Amino acid sequence: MIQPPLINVSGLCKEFRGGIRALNDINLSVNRGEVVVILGPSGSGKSTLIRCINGLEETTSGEIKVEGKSLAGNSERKWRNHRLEVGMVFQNYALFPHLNVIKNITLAPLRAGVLKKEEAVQEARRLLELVGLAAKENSPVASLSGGQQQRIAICRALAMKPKAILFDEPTSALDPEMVGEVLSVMRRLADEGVTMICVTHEMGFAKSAADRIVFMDKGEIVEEAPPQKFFSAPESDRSRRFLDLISSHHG
Amino acid sequence: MDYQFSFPYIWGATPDLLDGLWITLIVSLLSIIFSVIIGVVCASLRVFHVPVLSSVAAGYVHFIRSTPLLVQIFFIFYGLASLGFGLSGFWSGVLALSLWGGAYNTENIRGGLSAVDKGLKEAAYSLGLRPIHYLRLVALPIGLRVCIPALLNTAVSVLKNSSYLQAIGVAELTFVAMDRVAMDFRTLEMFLAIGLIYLVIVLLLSTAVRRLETFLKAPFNTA
Repeated sequence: MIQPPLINVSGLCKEFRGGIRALNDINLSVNRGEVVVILGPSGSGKSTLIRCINGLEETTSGEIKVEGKSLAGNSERKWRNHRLEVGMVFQNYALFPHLNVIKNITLAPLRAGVLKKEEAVQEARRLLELVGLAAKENSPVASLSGGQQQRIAICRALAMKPKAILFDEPTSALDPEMVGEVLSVMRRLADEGVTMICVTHEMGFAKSAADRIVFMDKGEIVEEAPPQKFFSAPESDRSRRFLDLISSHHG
Repeated sequence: MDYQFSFPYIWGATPDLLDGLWITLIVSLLSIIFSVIIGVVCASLRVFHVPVLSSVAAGYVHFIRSTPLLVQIFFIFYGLASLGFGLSGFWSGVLALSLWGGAYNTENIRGGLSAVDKGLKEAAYSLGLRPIHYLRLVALPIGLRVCIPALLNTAVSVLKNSSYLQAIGVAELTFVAMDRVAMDFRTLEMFLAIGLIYLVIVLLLSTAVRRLETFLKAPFNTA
Protein backbone atom coordinates (compact mmCIF):
# COMPACT_ATOMS: atom_id res chain seq x y z
CA MET A 1 0.00 0.00 0.00
CA ILE A 2 1.30 3.43 -0.90
CA GLN A 3 1.50 5.79 2.03
CA PRO A 4 -0.52 8.95 1.54
CA PRO A 5 1.47 12.19 1.62
CA LEU A 6 1.80 13.65 5.11
CA ILE A 7 0.29 16.95 4.04
CA ASN A 8 -1.85 17.30 0.98
CA VAL A 9 -3.30 20.59 -0.21
CA SER A 10 -5.68 20.51 -3.14
CA GLY A 11 -7.47 23.29 -4.96
CA LEU A 12 -6.82 25.72 -2.13
CA CYS A 13 -8.08 29.25 -2.65
CA LYS A 14 -7.93 32.10 -0.21
CA GLU A 15 -9.60 35.42 -0.67
CA PHE A 16 -9.22 38.16 1.90
CA ARG A 17 -12.06 40.48 2.71
CA GLY A 18 -12.21 43.09 0.04
CA GLY A 19 -11.79 40.49 -2.67
CA ILE A 20 -8.00 40.31 -2.70
CA ARG A 21 -7.11 36.87 -3.94
CA ALA A 22 -4.05 35.69 -2.03
CA LEU A 23 -4.03 32.07 -3.13
CA ASN A 24 -5.40 30.62 -6.31
CA ASP A 25 -5.89 26.87 -6.78
CA ILE A 26 -2.87 25.68 -4.82
CA ASN A 27 -2.00 21.99 -5.08
CA LEU A 28 0.87 20.78 -2.96
CA SER A 29 1.78 17.55 -1.31
CA VAL A 30 4.55 16.99 1.16
CA ASN A 31 5.86 13.55 2.02
CA ARG A 32 7.09 12.36 5.38
CA GLY A 33 10.66 13.51 5.97
CA GLU A 34 10.62 15.92 3.08
CA VAL A 35 11.99 19.46 3.32
CA VAL A 36 10.07 21.83 1.09
CA VAL A 37 11.25 25.41 0.70
CA ILE A 38 8.79 27.94 -0.65
CA LEU A 39 10.36 30.84 -2.50
CA GLY A 40 8.82 33.81 -4.20
CA PRO A 41 8.62 37.59 -4.23
CA SER A 42 6.86 39.32 -1.36
CA GLY A 43 3.11 39.34 -1.73
CA SER A 44 3.19 36.07 -3.63
CA GLY A 45 1.14 34.24 -0.98
CA LYS A 46 3.92 32.12 0.58
CA SER A 47 3.14 33.07 4.14
CA THR A 48 -0.60 32.92 3.56
CA LEU A 49 -0.22 29.36 2.28
CA ILE A 50 1.52 28.06 5.36
CA ARG A 51 -0.76 30.06 7.62
CA CYS A 52 -3.67 28.30 5.93
CA ILE A 53 -1.99 24.94 6.48
CA ASN A 54 -1.72 25.80 10.19
CA GLY A 55 -5.32 27.02 10.32
CA LEU A 56 -4.42 30.58 11.21
CA GLU A 57 -6.31 31.74 8.13
CA GLU A 58 -9.71 30.48 7.09
CA THR A 59 -9.63 29.04 3.62
CA THR A 60 -12.10 30.15 0.96
CA SER A 61 -12.24 26.82 -0.85
CA GLY A 62 -10.19 23.71 -1.37
CA GLU A 63 -9.00 21.01 0.95
CA ILE A 64 -6.12 20.43 3.35
CA LYS A 65 -5.40 16.89 4.48
CA VAL A 66 -2.97 15.63 7.07
CA GLU A 67 -2.24 11.90 6.79
CA GLY A 68 -5.25 11.56 4.55
CA LYS A 69 -7.62 13.10 7.10
CA SER A 70 -9.49 16.03 5.65
CA LEU A 71 -10.09 19.21 7.56
CA ALA A 72 -13.30 19.94 5.73
CA GLY A 73 -15.93 21.21 8.11
CA ASN A 74 -13.31 23.21 9.95
CA SER A 75 -14.66 22.70 13.46
CA GLU A 76 -12.58 24.40 16.13
CA ARG A 77 -11.71 21.09 17.79
CA LYS A 78 -10.64 19.55 14.50
CA TRP A 79 -8.35 22.48 13.93
CA ARG A 80 -6.90 22.14 17.39
CA ASN A 81 -6.11 18.47 16.78
CA HIS A 82 -4.64 19.41 13.44
CA ARG A 83 -2.44 22.06 14.99
CA LEU A 84 -1.16 19.48 17.45
CA GLU A 85 0.26 17.63 14.46
CA VAL A 86 1.69 20.60 12.60
CA GLY A 87 3.96 23.02 14.47
CA MET A 88 4.74 26.55 13.44
CA VAL A 89 7.70 28.90 13.84
CA PHE A 90 7.03 32.59 13.29
CA GLN A 91 9.08 35.44 11.91
CA ASN A 92 8.92 37.36 15.20
CA TYR A 93 9.47 34.30 17.43
CA ALA A 94 6.30 35.12 19.42
CA LEU A 95 7.69 33.71 22.65
CA PHE A 96 5.55 34.28 25.73
CA PRO A 97 7.33 37.25 27.35
CA HIS A 98 6.08 36.64 30.90
CA LEU A 99 7.46 33.10 31.08
CA ASN A 100 11.06 31.94 31.31
CA VAL A 101 12.67 29.79 28.66
CA ILE A 102 11.71 26.37 29.93
CA LYS A 103 8.12 27.37 30.73
CA ASN A 104 7.72 28.67 27.20
CA ILE A 105 8.61 25.20 25.97
CA THR A 106 6.60 23.14 28.47
CA LEU A 107 3.42 25.26 28.54
CA ALA A 108 1.67 23.74 25.54
CA PRO A 109 2.65 20.06 26.00
CA LEU A 110 1.39 20.23 29.60
CA ARG A 111 -1.88 21.97 28.72
CA ALA A 112 -2.63 19.78 25.74
CA GLY A 113 -1.91 16.72 27.85
CA VAL A 114 0.77 15.53 25.43
CA LEU A 115 3.35 15.08 28.19
CA LYS A 116 3.50 14.79 31.96
CA LYS A 117 5.34 17.39 34.02
CA GLU A 118 8.69 15.58 34.42
CA GLU A 119 8.61 14.28 30.86
CA ALA A 120 7.91 17.77 29.55
CA VAL A 121 10.78 19.27 31.53
CA GLN A 122 13.13 16.48 30.44
CA GLU A 123 12.09 16.86 26.82
CA ALA A 124 12.54 20.64 27.02
CA ARG A 125 16.05 20.17 28.43
CA ARG A 126 16.89 17.73 25.66
CA LEU A 127 15.69 20.21 23.03
CA LEU A 128 17.58 23.10 24.63
CA GLU A 129 20.69 20.94 24.53
CA LEU A 130 20.02 20.28 20.85
CA VAL A 131 19.91 23.99 19.99
CA GLY A 132 22.85 24.83 22.26
CA LEU A 133 20.92 26.80 24.88
CA ALA A 134 20.92 24.42 27.83
CA ALA A 135 22.41 27.13 30.06
CA LYS A 136 19.48 29.50 29.42
CA GLU A 137 16.81 27.24 30.90
CA ASN A 138 15.70 29.73 33.57
CA SER A 139 16.40 32.98 31.76
CA PRO A 140 13.57 35.41 31.04
CA VAL A 141 13.08 35.47 27.27
CA ALA A 142 13.56 39.25 27.09
CA SER A 143 17.20 38.77 28.10
CA LEU A 144 17.96 36.63 25.02
CA SER A 145 19.10 37.73 21.58
CA GLY A 146 16.82 37.34 18.55
CA GLY A 147 18.71 34.29 17.34
CA GLN A 148 18.45 32.67 20.74
CA GLN A 149 14.74 33.49 20.97
CA GLN A 150 14.10 31.94 17.57
CA ARG A 151 15.96 28.77 18.59
CA ILE A 152 13.77 28.63 21.71
CA ALA A 153 10.70 29.07 19.49
CA ILE A 154 11.86 26.08 17.44
CA CYS A 155 12.19 24.05 20.65
CA ARG A 156 8.70 25.14 21.65
CA ALA A 157 7.26 23.86 18.39
CA LEU A 158 9.26 20.61 18.59
CA ALA A 159 8.12 19.93 22.15
CA MET A 160 4.62 19.17 20.85
CA LYS A 161 6.15 16.35 18.82
CA PRO A 162 4.53 17.57 15.61
CA LYS A 163 4.59 15.50 12.46
CA ALA A 164 5.70 18.52 10.46
CA ILE A 165 6.95 22.02 11.20
CA LEU A 166 6.08 25.11 9.23
CA PHE A 167 8.61 27.96 9.22
CA ASP A 168 7.34 31.41 8.29
CA GLU A 169 10.42 33.44 7.37
CA PRO A 170 12.21 32.38 10.54
CA THR A 171 15.33 34.47 9.94
CA SER A 172 13.85 37.62 8.41
CA ALA A 173 13.68 39.56 11.66
CA LEU A 174 17.18 38.61 12.76
CA ASP A 175 20.38 40.58 12.75
CA PRO A 176 22.63 39.14 10.01
CA GLU A 177 25.12 37.58 12.41
CA MET A 178 22.36 35.55 14.05
CA VAL A 179 20.90 34.05 10.91
CA GLY A 180 23.52 31.31 10.81
CA GLU A 181 22.77 29.88 14.25
CA VAL A 182 19.08 29.49 13.44
CA LEU A 183 19.69 28.03 9.99
CA SER A 184 22.13 25.49 11.39
CA VAL A 185 19.46 24.28 13.83
CA MET A 186 17.00 24.00 10.95
CA ARG A 187 19.54 22.19 8.80
CA ARG A 188 20.11 19.74 11.62
CA LEU A 189 16.39 19.06 11.89
CA ALA A 190 16.23 18.53 8.16
CA ASP A 191 19.08 16.00 8.40
CA GLU A 192 17.24 14.21 11.18
CA GLY A 193 14.29 13.68 8.89
CA VAL A 194 11.85 16.21 10.34
CA THR A 195 9.22 17.12 7.76
CA MET A 196 9.45 20.84 7.08
CA ILE A 197 7.78 23.46 4.97
CA CYS A 198 9.83 26.58 5.04
CA VAL A 199 9.16 30.04 3.67
CA THR A 200 12.47 31.83 3.50
CA HIS A 201 14.65 34.21 1.56
CA GLU A 202 17.81 32.35 2.51
CA MET A 203 18.92 30.96 -0.83
CA GLY A 204 21.92 29.18 0.65
CA PHE A 205 19.66 27.24 2.97
CA ALA A 206 17.22 26.51 0.15
CA LYS A 207 20.02 25.15 -2.04
CA SER A 208 21.62 22.95 0.56
CA ALA A 209 18.76 21.76 2.78
CA ALA A 210 15.69 21.56 0.56
CA ASP A 211 14.50 18.39 -1.14
CA ARG A 212 12.21 20.47 -3.27
CA ILE A 213 11.73 24.13 -4.12
CA VAL A 214 8.24 25.49 -4.61
CA PHE A 215 8.27 28.82 -6.39
CA MET A 216 5.20 31.01 -5.97
CA ASP A 217 4.11 34.20 -7.62
CA LYS A 218 0.82 36.10 -7.45
CA GLY A 219 -0.88 33.45 -5.35
CA GLU A 220 -0.01 30.56 -7.60
CA ILE A 221 2.61 27.84 -7.65
CA VAL A 222 4.66 28.62 -10.73
CA GLU A 223 7.26 25.91 -10.52
CA GLU A 224 8.24 22.92 -8.41
CA ALA A 225 11.68 21.41 -8.79
CA PRO A 226 14.61 19.94 -6.86
CA PRO A 227 16.99 22.73 -5.79
CA GLN A 228 19.83 21.75 -8.19
CA LYS A 229 17.46 22.04 -11.11
CA PHE A 230 15.63 25.13 -9.87
CA PHE A 231 18.75 27.16 -9.25
CA SER A 232 20.66 26.09 -12.37
CA ALA A 233 17.95 25.67 -14.96
CA PRO A 234 14.60 27.14 -13.89
CA GLU A 235 11.80 26.37 -16.28
CA SER A 236 9.61 29.42 -16.13
CA ASP A 237 10.48 33.00 -17.00
CA ARG A 238 9.17 34.23 -13.72
CA SER A 239 11.50 32.00 -11.70
CA ARG A 240 14.41 33.06 -13.85
CA ARG A 241 13.64 36.74 -13.34
CA PHE A 242 13.35 36.16 -9.59
CA LEU A 243 16.70 34.39 -9.47
CA ASP A 244 18.35 37.06 -11.62
CA LEU A 245 17.13 39.79 -9.30
CA ILE A 246 18.38 37.95 -6.27
CA SER A 247 21.80 37.13 -7.70
CA SER A 248 22.35 40.70 -8.91
CA HIS A 249 21.35 41.90 -5.46
CA HIS A 250 23.80 39.56 -3.75
CA GLY A 251 26.54 40.45 -6.25
CA MET B 1 -13.45 84.92 63.16
CA ASP B 2 -13.60 83.46 66.59
CA TYR B 3 -13.51 79.82 65.49
CA GLN B 4 -10.86 78.06 67.59
CA PHE B 5 -9.25 75.12 65.82
CA SER B 6 -8.96 72.31 68.32
CA PHE B 7 -6.47 69.48 67.93
CA PRO B 8 -7.61 67.87 71.17
CA TYR B 9 -11.07 67.56 69.61
CA ILE B 10 -9.66 65.46 66.74
CA TRP B 11 -7.72 63.42 69.26
CA GLY B 12 -10.90 62.77 71.22
CA ALA B 13 -12.72 61.67 68.07
CA THR B 14 -10.03 59.16 67.14
CA PRO B 15 -11.80 56.02 68.40
CA ASP B 16 -14.90 56.89 66.33
CA LEU B 17 -12.76 57.72 63.30
CA LEU B 18 -10.91 54.42 63.58
CA ASP B 19 -14.24 52.54 63.63
CA GLY B 20 -15.23 54.41 60.46
CA LEU B 21 -11.86 53.84 58.86
CA TRP B 22 -12.18 50.13 59.48
CA ILE B 23 -15.55 49.98 57.67
CA THR B 24 -14.17 52.11 54.83
CA LEU B 25 -11.22 49.76 54.42
CA ILE B 26 -13.33 46.60 54.48
CA VAL B 27 -15.94 47.94 52.05
CA SER B 28 -13.23 49.24 49.71
CA LEU B 29 -11.13 46.10 49.82
CA LEU B 30 -14.10 43.84 49.04
CA SER B 31 -15.33 46.18 46.29
CA ILE B 32 -11.90 46.46 44.68
CA ILE B 33 -11.49 42.68 44.63
CA PHE B 34 -14.97 42.11 43.19
CA SER B 35 -14.56 44.94 40.67
CA VAL B 36 -11.36 43.37 39.31
CA ILE B 37 -13.08 39.98 39.02
CA ILE B 38 -16.06 41.55 37.23
CA GLY B 39 -13.65 43.44 34.99
CA VAL B 40 -11.70 40.31 34.05
CA VAL B 41 -14.86 38.35 33.22
CA CYS B 42 -16.60 41.11 31.25
CA ALA B 43 -13.45 42.18 29.40
CA SER B 44 -12.81 38.56 28.38
CA LEU B 45 -16.38 38.22 27.11
CA ARG B 46 -15.89 41.41 25.10
CA VAL B 47 -12.47 40.55 23.68
CA PHE B 48 -13.49 37.04 22.62
CA HIS B 49 -16.77 38.30 21.17
CA VAL B 50 -18.77 35.69 23.09
CA PRO B 51 -22.23 35.75 21.51
CA VAL B 52 -24.97 37.53 23.55
CA LEU B 53 -22.83 37.82 26.70
CA SER B 54 -20.47 40.25 24.99
CA SER B 55 -23.39 42.58 24.28
CA VAL B 56 -24.70 42.17 27.83
CA ALA B 57 -21.29 43.21 29.15
CA ALA B 58 -21.19 46.19 26.79
CA GLY B 59 -24.67 47.29 27.91
CA TYR B 60 -23.73 46.95 31.57
CA VAL B 61 -20.63 49.11 31.12
CA HIS B 62 -22.63 51.70 29.23
CA PHE B 63 -25.36 51.81 31.87
CA ILE B 64 -22.95 52.20 34.80
CA ARG B 65 -20.87 54.85 33.12
CA SER B 66 -23.91 56.88 32.10
CA THR B 67 -25.62 57.10 35.48
CA PRO B 68 -24.48 58.75 38.72
CA LEU B 69 -23.02 56.45 41.34
CA LEU B 70 -25.32 57.89 43.99
CA VAL B 71 -28.34 56.91 41.89
CA GLN B 72 -26.94 53.39 41.55
CA ILE B 73 -26.43 53.17 45.32
CA PHE B 74 -30.00 54.34 46.01
CA PHE B 75 -31.36 52.00 43.36
CA ILE B 76 -29.68 49.01 44.95
CA PHE B 77 -30.44 49.96 48.57
CA TYR B 78 -34.00 51.30 48.24
CA GLY B 79 -35.05 50.04 44.81
CA LEU B 80 -34.17 46.39 45.33
CA ALA B 81 -35.68 46.47 48.82
CA SER B 82 -39.03 47.50 47.38
CA LEU B 83 -38.79 44.50 45.04
CA GLY B 84 -38.21 42.25 48.04
CA PHE B 85 -34.44 41.78 47.57
CA GLY B 86 -33.45 43.98 50.46
CA LEU B 87 -29.73 44.04 51.24
CA SER B 88 -28.10 45.61 54.30
CA GLY B 89 -26.46 48.98 53.82
CA PHE B 90 -23.05 47.35 53.99
CA TRP B 91 -23.74 44.79 51.25
CA SER B 92 -25.69 47.27 49.13
CA GLY B 93 -22.61 49.44 49.28
CA VAL B 94 -20.23 46.64 48.37
CA LEU B 95 -22.50 45.61 45.49
CA ALA B 96 -22.87 49.16 44.15
CA LEU B 97 -19.15 49.94 44.35
CA SER B 98 -18.21 46.57 42.85
CA LEU B 99 -20.54 47.06 39.89
CA TRP B 100 -19.35 50.62 39.46
CA GLY B 101 -15.65 49.73 39.59
CA GLY B 102 -16.30 46.58 37.56
CA ALA B 103 -17.60 48.64 34.64
CA TYR B 104 -14.52 50.82 34.60
CA ASN B 105 -12.24 47.82 35.05
CA THR B 106 -13.94 46.10 32.12
CA GLU B 107 -12.74 48.93 29.92
CA ASN B 108 -9.32 49.04 31.61
CA ILE B 109 -8.74 45.32 31.16
CA ARG B 110 -10.19 45.29 27.66
CA GLY B 111 -7.53 47.85 26.80
CA GLY B 112 -4.86 45.68 28.40
CA LEU B 113 -5.99 42.56 26.56
CA SER B 114 -6.04 44.31 23.19
CA ALA B 115 -2.50 45.50 23.84
CA VAL B 116 -1.31 41.87 23.89
CA ASP B 117 0.61 41.14 20.68
CA LYS B 118 -1.63 39.35 18.17
CA GLY B 119 1.30 37.09 17.31
CA LEU B 120 1.14 35.54 20.78
CA LYS B 121 -2.44 34.46 20.17
CA GLU B 122 -1.43 32.84 16.90
CA ALA B 123 1.53 31.19 18.59
CA ALA B 124 -0.71 29.85 21.35
CA TYR B 125 -3.31 28.56 18.90
CA SER B 126 -0.64 27.06 16.65
CA LEU B 127 0.55 25.11 19.70
CA GLY B 128 -2.93 23.69 20.13
CA LEU B 129 -3.87 25.72 23.22
CA ARG B 130 -7.58 26.25 23.77
CA PRO B 131 -8.86 29.84 23.79
CA ILE B 132 -9.51 29.59 27.54
CA HIS B 133 -5.92 28.48 28.13
CA TYR B 134 -4.63 31.26 25.93
CA LEU B 135 -6.70 33.71 27.96
CA ARG B 136 -5.66 32.39 31.35
CA LEU B 137 -2.01 31.57 30.70
CA VAL B 138 -0.97 34.18 28.15
CA ALA B 139 -3.38 37.06 27.55
CA LEU B 140 -4.41 37.86 31.14
CA PRO B 141 -0.93 37.62 32.70
CA ILE B 142 0.39 40.00 30.06
CA GLY B 143 -2.68 42.21 29.63
CA LEU B 144 -3.23 42.71 33.37
CA ARG B 145 0.36 43.84 33.81
CA VAL B 146 -0.18 46.42 31.09
CA CYS B 147 -3.26 47.90 32.74
CA ILE B 148 -2.06 47.99 36.36
CA PRO B 149 -1.90 51.83 36.38
CA ALA B 150 -5.49 52.03 35.10
CA LEU B 151 -6.64 49.42 37.63
CA LEU B 152 -4.99 51.42 40.40
CA ASN B 153 -6.79 54.53 39.22
CA THR B 154 -10.15 52.78 39.45
CA ALA B 155 -9.27 51.22 42.81
CA VAL B 156 -8.49 54.69 44.21
CA SER B 157 -11.82 55.95 42.88
CA VAL B 158 -13.67 53.03 44.47
CA LEU B 159 -12.01 53.78 47.78
CA LYS B 160 -12.86 57.49 47.65
CA ASN B 161 -16.38 56.83 46.41
CA SER B 162 -17.03 54.64 49.43
CA SER B 163 -17.78 57.96 51.15
CA TYR B 164 -21.07 58.09 49.18
CA LEU B 165 -22.22 55.19 51.32
CA GLN B 166 -22.85 57.58 54.20
CA ALA B 167 -26.04 58.44 52.26
CA ILE B 168 -27.47 54.99 53.02
CA GLY B 169 -26.22 54.95 56.59
CA VAL B 170 -23.14 52.79 56.30
CA ALA B 171 -20.96 53.81 59.26
CA GLU B 172 -17.81 54.42 57.24
CA LEU B 173 -15.34 57.25 57.69
CA THR B 174 -17.40 60.08 56.16
CA PHE B 175 -20.54 58.93 57.98
CA VAL B 176 -18.69 59.04 61.29
CA ALA B 177 -17.40 62.52 60.57
CA MET B 178 -20.87 63.79 59.61
CA ASP B 179 -22.24 62.23 62.76
CA ARG B 180 -19.70 64.02 64.95
CA VAL B 181 -20.26 67.28 63.10
CA ALA B 182 -24.00 67.01 63.66
CA MET B 183 -23.36 66.73 67.40
CA ASP B 184 -20.52 69.19 67.91
CA PHE B 185 -20.35 71.42 64.81
CA ARG B 186 -16.59 70.89 64.65
CA THR B 187 -16.70 70.93 60.83
CA LEU B 188 -13.17 72.11 60.13
CA GLU B 189 -11.52 69.57 62.45
CA MET B 190 -13.56 66.62 61.29
CA PHE B 191 -13.34 67.17 57.54
CA LEU B 192 -9.66 68.02 57.72
CA ALA B 193 -9.07 64.85 59.71
CA ILE B 194 -10.91 62.52 57.33
CA GLY B 195 -9.40 64.29 54.33
CA LEU B 196 -5.95 63.50 55.66
CA ILE B 197 -6.94 59.91 56.44
CA TYR B 198 -8.20 59.38 52.86
CA LEU B 199 -5.01 60.96 51.54
CA VAL B 200 -2.83 58.62 53.58
CA ILE B 201 -4.65 55.42 52.58
CA VAL B 202 -4.62 56.38 48.90
CA LEU B 203 -0.87 57.06 49.15
CA LEU B 204 -0.31 53.69 50.81
CA LEU B 205 -2.41 51.90 48.19
CA SER B 206 -0.58 53.64 45.32
CA THR B 207 2.83 52.82 46.73
CA ALA B 208 1.90 49.17 47.25
CA VAL B 209 0.55 48.85 43.69
CA ARG B 210 3.61 50.57 42.22
CA ARG B 211 5.87 48.11 44.04
CA LEU B 212 3.76 45.26 42.70
CA GLU B 213 4.02 46.66 39.18
CA THR B 214 7.81 46.90 39.33
CA PHE B 215 8.00 43.35 40.64
CA LEU B 216 5.65 41.95 37.98
CA LYS B 217 7.34 43.76 35.12
CA ALA B 218 10.83 42.61 36.05
CA PRO B 219 10.89 39.68 33.57
CA PHE B 220 10.03 42.05 30.70
CA ASN B 221 13.09 44.22 31.16
CA THR B 222 15.94 43.37 28.87
CA ALA B 223 19.11 42.66 30.78
